[in-house]
Amino acid sequence: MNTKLFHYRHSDGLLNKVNPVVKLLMLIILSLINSLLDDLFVIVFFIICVSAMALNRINFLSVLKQSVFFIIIGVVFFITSHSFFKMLRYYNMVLICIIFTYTTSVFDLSYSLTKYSLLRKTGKILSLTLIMIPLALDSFSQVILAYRSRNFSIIKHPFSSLTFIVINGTKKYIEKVSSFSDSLQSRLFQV
Amino acid sequence: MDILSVNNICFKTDNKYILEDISFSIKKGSITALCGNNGAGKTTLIKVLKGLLKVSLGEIYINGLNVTKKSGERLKKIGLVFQDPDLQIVGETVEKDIEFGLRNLNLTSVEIERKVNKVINELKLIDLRNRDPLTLSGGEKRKLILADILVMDPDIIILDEIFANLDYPNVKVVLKLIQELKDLNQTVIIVSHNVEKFLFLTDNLILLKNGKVVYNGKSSLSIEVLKENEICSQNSFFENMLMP
Ligand SMILES: Nc1ncnc2c1ncn2[C@@H]1O[C@H](COP(=O)(O)OP(=O)(O)OP(=O)(O)O)[C@@H](O)[C@H]1O
Ligand SMILES: [Mg+2]
Repeated sequence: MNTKLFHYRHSDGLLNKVNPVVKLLMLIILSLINSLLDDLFVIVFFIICVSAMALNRINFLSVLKQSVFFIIIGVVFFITSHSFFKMLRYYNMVLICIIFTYTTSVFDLSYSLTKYSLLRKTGKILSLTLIMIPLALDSFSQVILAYRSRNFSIIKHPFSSLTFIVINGTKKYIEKVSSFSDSLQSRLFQV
Repeated sequence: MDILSVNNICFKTDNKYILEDISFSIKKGSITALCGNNGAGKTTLIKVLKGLLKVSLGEIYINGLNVTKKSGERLKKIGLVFQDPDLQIVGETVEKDIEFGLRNLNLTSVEIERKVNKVINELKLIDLRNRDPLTLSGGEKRKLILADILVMDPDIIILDEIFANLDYPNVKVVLKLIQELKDLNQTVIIVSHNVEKFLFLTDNLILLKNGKVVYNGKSSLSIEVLKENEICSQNSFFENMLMP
């Protein structure tokens, strides 16, 4: 199955069924453990992570392919700190995050949070943020595409193009947010 | 009985009237076309109806109940499908997107599941259930946003420019969906500046021009008015589509 990094996909895996708030707590605890563990256990931890991925039918090779960026950073860690285990701790952390986001719908998480009255607002704002981020990415990439399609070289005019992109991207974003807020309101979403 | 009736509605911004003295009523289970050229005031009118914009003057009744001042009530009773599906889809999977509105109603998860399953069956979305909405085709996305609204059980469904950007096969898909809504005895208002594609499906037609109603009556009798007002071209040959 094709895996997109940090992107929820529906599956019948065991971890998908665990309550999202429990998973969030597990994420926090596991990352603490990962940084406090003895060096040797870090290897065991890594093996556990990989088996957890296998159990949830996450394609390890496909994850590997998409994680080139993180792998490079790990290698930089290794070169600068001369510590194999530091690098491994870092990879463990990335793997935990990948497993968490792959098996947890952020919407489920934010809705589970709203069940606890203290976290109600946090949950709502979390889901609102998650809705708005792709909208922003979309607005800016649209503006950049519009410039490039008219042969405007961003490299030749870095300053003016940056100003244009920021101003027009923000304009576009505000436009999108306002129609989006209409549609959220019409589906009775309230913060 | 009329499910929706609108009496002398006006909408003003700054000092310009965008809607002036609009009155009409709609019967339960009927399909109405709301048309008019660009800038006629269609989108403004439906936003006012839905409660996203405040009425400046006039009254709105739903099922005989005066809801002019109750915009929350109107938000619930009127389901509005906006033009751009990408600005309405929020869920990570089709199923989660359909759930979104229900969760905002604070229903139990059993109730949510029942309603979602019902809509998924009605709109035949079973195969798409676990798909990422971003990977759907244009027609499938329309189907999804229709499901998003239908699941909330609105009394009236308004579709704003639902045919925009659709190719012929997808237009047929949406037409079939509207026919299915009609079979379910839903009340539907289809808003568009281009009525030729769907006029044959509708019972009544309301034509707006410069913020005023210029025609309100049977669709089958509207062709001359549509031609006069340049909603369709003089040599349109879609009369024969109106025949039963
Ligand atoms: N907030 C506003 N302030 C000033 N004028 C507005 C505002 N909103 C809409 N208008 C004007 O009101 C008129 C009606 O706009 P509306 O969007 O309702 O038209 P429409 O019938 O939906 O057109 P289209 O077919 O292009 O979607 C337009 O002339 C528009 O410029
Ligand atoms: Mg419009």
